[in-house]
Amino acid sequence: MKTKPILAILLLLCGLALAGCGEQAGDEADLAFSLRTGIVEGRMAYIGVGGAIDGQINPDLTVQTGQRVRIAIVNGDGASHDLALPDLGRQTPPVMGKETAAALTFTASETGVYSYLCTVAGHRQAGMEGRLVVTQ
Amino acid sequence: MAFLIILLRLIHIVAGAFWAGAAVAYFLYFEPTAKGLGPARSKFMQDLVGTHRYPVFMNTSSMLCILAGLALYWFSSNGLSVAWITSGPGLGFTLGSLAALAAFGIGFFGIRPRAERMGAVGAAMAKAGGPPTPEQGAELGRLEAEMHAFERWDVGLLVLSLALMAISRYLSF
Repeated sequence: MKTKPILAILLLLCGLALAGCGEQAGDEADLAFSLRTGIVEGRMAYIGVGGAIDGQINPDLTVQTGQRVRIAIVNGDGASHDLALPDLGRQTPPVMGKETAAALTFTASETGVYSYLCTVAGHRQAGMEGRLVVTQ
Repeated sequence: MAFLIILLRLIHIVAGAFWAGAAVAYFLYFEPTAKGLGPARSKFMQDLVGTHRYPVFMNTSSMLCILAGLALYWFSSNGLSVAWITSGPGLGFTLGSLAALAAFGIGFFGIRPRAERMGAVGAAMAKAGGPPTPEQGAELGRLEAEMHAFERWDVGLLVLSLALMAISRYLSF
């Protein structure tokens, strides 16, 4: 009889662990960005990887309406991070440990300027915030 | 790896609730109740400390809370990044952590040895089977006064730490 609660706890823990594995399917995109977390001049930052944003600190991510967009983050410093688009209600799972990665995919539907940021307490204030610019 | 953060937060918050809850319960309820017991007080303290191992519970819960908290602090601060420490949440968590560490020091080096000494005096009195000697009575009175002063600081610092931990993530500067 005592095995049931233990089994339930194990299943819950497995579910929580799997929830952290990120988006793996259904994330084909017209446009993809890759950001690496790190510390630049004493401040936390997202650093652009590849393409026009390569090496930029908290780069502007410019997309057009209707485009399917994928934003991936790679943990470059070993701390706990994520990437969220609060205005669009999107957020990656947390990445912890160097070289772990996660991504979010969405369709840009309305023009505007939206913040992307790390939701770990204090990380936005410490520098991890940039802009997603959606144009026509 | 997200599982590790969840596990650390689980340990930190549950152990912290046990630690602060037991400290507040002792300060507000156990100690006044014991005072009202008169001669039976030493038996109460002896049971609390010796039989029910209250200091062991306090040491274990506080150590677990602090160790998990230090790990969470390391991961959140990105290895003690100054930019994080000087942010609103960073300052809140740092001051909250310092308050908790001070409370732990007071508990471990101030309250614990006195509680154990009170338990030992109570055991000696029980073994002798009579009322406390004048020396024992004087020692118990001194220990009681010292413990109360330490507990006041300990509980105050724990409440301050809890308050800072609760609000830190909402400090948006």
